Amino acid sequence: MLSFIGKRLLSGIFLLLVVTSGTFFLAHVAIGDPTQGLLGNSATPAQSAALRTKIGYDDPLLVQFWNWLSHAVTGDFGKSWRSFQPVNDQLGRSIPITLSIVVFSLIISVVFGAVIGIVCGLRPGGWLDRVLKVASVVLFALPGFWISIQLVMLFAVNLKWFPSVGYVSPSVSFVGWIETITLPSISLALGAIVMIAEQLRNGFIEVANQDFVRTLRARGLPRRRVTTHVLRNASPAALTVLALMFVGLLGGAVIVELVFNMYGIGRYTQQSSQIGDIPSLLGVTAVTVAFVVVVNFLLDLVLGWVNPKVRER
Amino acid sequence: MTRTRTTALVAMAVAAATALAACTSASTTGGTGGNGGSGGGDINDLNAGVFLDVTSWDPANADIGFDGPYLSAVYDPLVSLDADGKPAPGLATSWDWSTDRLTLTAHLRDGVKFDDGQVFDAKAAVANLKHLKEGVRSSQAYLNVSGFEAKDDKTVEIKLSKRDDALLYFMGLGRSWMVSPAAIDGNKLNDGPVGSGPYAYDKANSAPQQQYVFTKKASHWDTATYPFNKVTLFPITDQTASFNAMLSGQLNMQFANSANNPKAQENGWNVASKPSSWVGVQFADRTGAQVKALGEQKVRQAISYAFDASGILKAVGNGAGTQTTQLWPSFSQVYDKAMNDKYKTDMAKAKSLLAEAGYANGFSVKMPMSPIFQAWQPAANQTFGDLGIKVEWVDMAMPDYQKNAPTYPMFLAVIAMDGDDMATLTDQVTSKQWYNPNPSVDAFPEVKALVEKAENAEPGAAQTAALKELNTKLVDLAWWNVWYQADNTYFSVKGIKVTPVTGMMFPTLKFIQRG
Amino acid sequence: MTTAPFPTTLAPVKRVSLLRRFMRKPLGVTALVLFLIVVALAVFAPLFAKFDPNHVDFNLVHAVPGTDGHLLGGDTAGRDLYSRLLYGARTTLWGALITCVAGLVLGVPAGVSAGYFAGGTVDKVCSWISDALQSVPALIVLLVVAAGTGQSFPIMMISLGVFLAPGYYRISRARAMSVRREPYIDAARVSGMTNGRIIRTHMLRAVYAPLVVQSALTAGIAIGMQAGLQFLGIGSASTPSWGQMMNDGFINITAFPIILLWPSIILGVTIATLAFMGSTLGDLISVRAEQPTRKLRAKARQVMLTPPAAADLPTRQTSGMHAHSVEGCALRVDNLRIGYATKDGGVKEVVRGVSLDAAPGEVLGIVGESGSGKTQTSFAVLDLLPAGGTAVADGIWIAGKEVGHLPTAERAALLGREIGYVPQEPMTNLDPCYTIERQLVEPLHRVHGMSKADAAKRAREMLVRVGITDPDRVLRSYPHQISGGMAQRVLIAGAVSGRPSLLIADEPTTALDVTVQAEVLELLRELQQEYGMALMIVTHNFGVVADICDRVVVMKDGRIVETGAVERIFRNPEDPYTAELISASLDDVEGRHELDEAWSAGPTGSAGPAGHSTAHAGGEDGAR
Repeated sequence: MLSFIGKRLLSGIFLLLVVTSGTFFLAHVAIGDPTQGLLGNSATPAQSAALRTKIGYDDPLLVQFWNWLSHAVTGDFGKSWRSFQPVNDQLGRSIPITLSIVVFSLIISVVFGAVIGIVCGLRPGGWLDRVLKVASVVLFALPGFWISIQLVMLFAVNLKWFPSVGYVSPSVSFVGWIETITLPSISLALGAIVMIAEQLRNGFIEVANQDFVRTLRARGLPRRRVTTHVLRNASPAALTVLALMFVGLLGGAVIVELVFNMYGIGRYTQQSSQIGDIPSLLGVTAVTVAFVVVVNFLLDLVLGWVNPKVRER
Repeated sequence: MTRTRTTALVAMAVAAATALAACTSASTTGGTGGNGGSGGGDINDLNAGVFLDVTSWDPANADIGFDGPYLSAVYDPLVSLDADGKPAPGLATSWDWSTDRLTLTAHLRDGVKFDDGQVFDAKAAVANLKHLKEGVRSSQAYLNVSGFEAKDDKTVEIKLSKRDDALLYFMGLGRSWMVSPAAIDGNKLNDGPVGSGPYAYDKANSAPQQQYVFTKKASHWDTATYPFNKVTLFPITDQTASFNAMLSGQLNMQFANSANNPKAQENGWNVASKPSSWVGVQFADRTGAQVKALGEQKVRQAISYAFDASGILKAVGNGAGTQTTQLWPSFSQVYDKAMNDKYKTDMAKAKSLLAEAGYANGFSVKMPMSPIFQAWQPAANQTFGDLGIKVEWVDMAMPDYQKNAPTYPMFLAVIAMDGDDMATLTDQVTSKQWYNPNPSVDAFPEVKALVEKAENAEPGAAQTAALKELNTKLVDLAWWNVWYQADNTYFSVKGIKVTPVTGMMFPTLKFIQRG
Repeated sequence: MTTAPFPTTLAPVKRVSLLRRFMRKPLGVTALVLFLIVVALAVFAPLFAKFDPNHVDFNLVHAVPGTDGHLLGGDTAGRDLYSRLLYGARTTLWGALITCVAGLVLGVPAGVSAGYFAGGTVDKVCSWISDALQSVPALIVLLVVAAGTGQSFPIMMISLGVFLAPGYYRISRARAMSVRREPYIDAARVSGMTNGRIIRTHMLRAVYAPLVVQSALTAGIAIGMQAGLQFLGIGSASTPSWGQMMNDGFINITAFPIILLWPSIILGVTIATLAFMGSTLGDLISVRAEQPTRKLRAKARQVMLTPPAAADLPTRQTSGMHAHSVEGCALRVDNLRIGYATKDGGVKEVVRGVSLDAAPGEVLGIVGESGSGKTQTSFAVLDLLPAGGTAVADGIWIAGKEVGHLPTAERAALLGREIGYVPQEPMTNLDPCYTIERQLVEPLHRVHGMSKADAAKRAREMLVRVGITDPDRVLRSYPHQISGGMAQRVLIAGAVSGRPSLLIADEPTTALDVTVQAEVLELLRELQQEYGMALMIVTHNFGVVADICDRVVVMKDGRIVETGAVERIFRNPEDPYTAELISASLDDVEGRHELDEAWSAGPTGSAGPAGHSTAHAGGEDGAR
């Protein structure tokens, strides 16, 4: 078990390193001299040169990367080239936003996805199962931003149930927080609900047809107890989808944040990549991937708990 | 002399790109569309949708474009502007020019203190001005300034190396926000504003990049000018999101998309608009250094004749603007309505001019293209094609566009205008800008003479007359191909009245009143 | 939607018939036709579009559909929407194609190699990269790529393909892993074919069908992502594309909602056709037979219940015979028939009129080849037929009581109390997620109402009783930690722990090592005698029958061909088929081949390749 944890951690750290160095070099090649993007066009060459020195842009690439990395491992992502504010500050503002909507939508999708998936798994071919089939195609066919905007039009603009833009921190107003994250989370969750439900349904049916289920029933176990066994065996697949979904939702958040005018890590990435603010870009990428690594790690632990065989790998 | 026009340009382009035609012919211009002030109690909170986020709380690093509302909440300007773009008192109560117009003496307001307790006096003003002159973005307002001097506690002298009739205008536009000198020294402005303005920045309730909350100070020397107890500014770049927020009632005032004018009227909102930028073709290479043809007056004129400017204004610009050939704003005295028909759309004439210039078969040219100019691209591409000019469009993202566009011989332009006539001269004609990489005045002796005449003329009627003469010449030379002057549009609910100011993409808070 | 639903289990693909079978699916054909129409519209856009898609006519700005022959009206720049839609299809489909090709080129060779050399370095490295790619939010990286490459369309689509390659990789790998074990691959290897050649010829052929499914989904994702990127302001507006048109529509959603309508429809329909094509094809190559609908099942049941027509009587008459009186029976089955609903609305009868009985303390063997209906018969007694199956009988008696007509719940109540069940395959009949203790205690606690402590004590006793020497270790163990023989003992302990009057053992020794088989049979015999149970033992092996049975029932094709005492049957088989079976059993000491098969089909499902990320578990399913 310990070596299993160790292996997964090492793999996660290596992944972080690969992604951040990849981003670093890609951004450097892609963006080139960032000073114009940072200062605007009226900057004189002297001002650009001063900024380049200030941000250490003239140092060799590897030195720059090492400087960044040696601080990053201590949790210090440096200062934005644009605002000269610590990247950590901005991350501290953006992460709660994105996490709020991603986690909230995960909760929504897990609750609804699980219920729908189990019901469909128990009664394949039933009406809910057929609805699920159609819904999965429809939600697959309509881009996320299309759905988001329709939701805004309906629930924010016409019905005025929810605000159409913005984010309120729970520390300011809990109700406001719920109000602002509900629509974005639902927009993100719709696709996820269907995916979890499908995965769980298929897994459920597959497990329900396995031999041990018959044996359990032959021992006289009541249906509900048998279902518990089936669920536990079907859950690894669903959990794995959940982890993939977490990644997908982080990506989808970029669009949702734009539609709802929230400055989460998606918008932060977009903006810093556009103006060439490499420390911000690296910080936000590192944190995003770190989240994924952590989620995958937790998933591994849960899988190990659910399925004892995994532990021994 | 430039204020940074980057964001202004982006903003304008996006605003115009999002604009739609087909509605009514531009409904209300330069005023309010609503019935003003009827019904309901007074509005105490202003919730304004601004297009862009504040660039920096340090005025030296700030943009003119959309930073106005943010900075005007927390800072007082040394010099301010009135609704017509004329310099108005701020922390400087009055000023006078020396006879050679090389020294500006400003008299400062008494009894003003910054939030950190520092006193505003001549020393503080000089510290600020020096900081602004060195600033990355603000410095260009002070290019002709050689030094500042505190004559006494309440008097500051600004020394110029060259006469600059636009200095006060630029200062008023957003280049003279006064901050606490202690904050400059301590480099504290990155953490938040330290000023003397009418509102206090409520950091606790603000969420940078999303909403900025300002609460009215109990006492401020100009408290009567600021009617709202609380001002919340929302940077919303996505125009659909912004309009949705207005529709859902989250905003009560916004930087608007003129395409939504009919909806605004349906909702009984006030609609205010004013010319803000010119749209057309910038001939960066009017000397013909890169593409010989563009050096020919007849070629440039041919292009001017070819474009259906009013068609483009109506279709792409949603009719929100004024078809014209000039870029002095349509309310300026330099502006000559009679010249608007000089290049009345005439493809036959355009072709014959091109033939006369020796380009009967047209020529080829590369032009840069960025998503925000895409609205005009189809019309431009087609017109150039009809004329026989083969355009190869080079797609690039916006930061690259600003970097690279100046290296192309010509490009589509959506460029912010100025409310001041001399500022227009410097910004658009004489000074080197990213959108005007080769001012090329020297290459045209007649233009150079007229420019000098205007620069040396007595401010007032004589200067206006000289500028008019220059304007006529520039239009005749097809110095640029202006299609129209586009309006910026602002929606506000009944009870709030916006007075737009040309030169500001979003007016400062003093131009947003109850009404 | 980066993970799309594709079949988790794949059947061997017959290439020729696949297209033909696809053509028989109305949904698939409709989707295919629609998709081909879209492709045709794109390819022949110049023929169908009356107007130049880039021609600007200011009179056409926001024109309503039908204006001056402009079918769908004009866009914000004054261009014909219909023409742009057609030309836009070119860009959009081209982009999707680039993405698919990029994904295929990267994912398939890597996946096939990794699957072929599963567990090797190639596999480890490729799988790590695949995991890594799936750990990075694609959209966020695409933003960086876009900023750096001047928003080059092909580069964007290739980058997207890179992020979707893991989808291809996983299926190719899983498929290659399962094909690798096929005899023809072994044959190729033995005949000296190089690994490279095997991969190229055999493996790639084996993966092609699932790849078509994956490509349909990838194309759908690519089209959606393209629109999403355009929405974020990334991409060119000079060339018409659906994404660009949608973006144009969004900006004007309040003022001119109709501009958004057309591209939304065509984009949605196109992605939906891809999804339907993919899922239809996926169903075709999936082993997991979709279950017949409730209606078909009800209909099948109706058919089963209908009294046989006079002409059918000879074949519908019951087979077999009863040896005991109804009252004295532990088990009695009278004229049992079992049928399965088929998808075309018919019924497939697998057991056709079977009658048998067993007295308390008697061991009844049911012998037959696979497909003879012997196992189905035992399931019917348990009332645990697989979904879709229907059993009809004149009567089923358990411990002298007629139960055949009882409601399901009351039948279920017999299980674990009156009837015990020992399955064939020990390793797949224990829940891999729970300890042995949990699995033994739970029924005792839940079904027999014992306290947990008592149940635990009883479970331990039972383990000791079935001959397990270190019961405490076994109780703590998970199923994969014990041997097959041990597992079978655990299952027997579980089956008899409720002291049933009837024990049904379905091929209880087939999956076990020869040495263990005798011990297990011996154990069954002991227990049967100790508890005085009736034991119904299902087997294909007359050796087992000779060992343990008192009476034997020989089944063939769903009917009983002969019933009788063991000695009599061995000495003097009445039916030639019985004689044949007996002699076959004596020749073939223990179908070694069948044993192998049973093992390989066994517990591999949960045993992924060692050292491989568990995050793969879902995708790994294909390896089963």
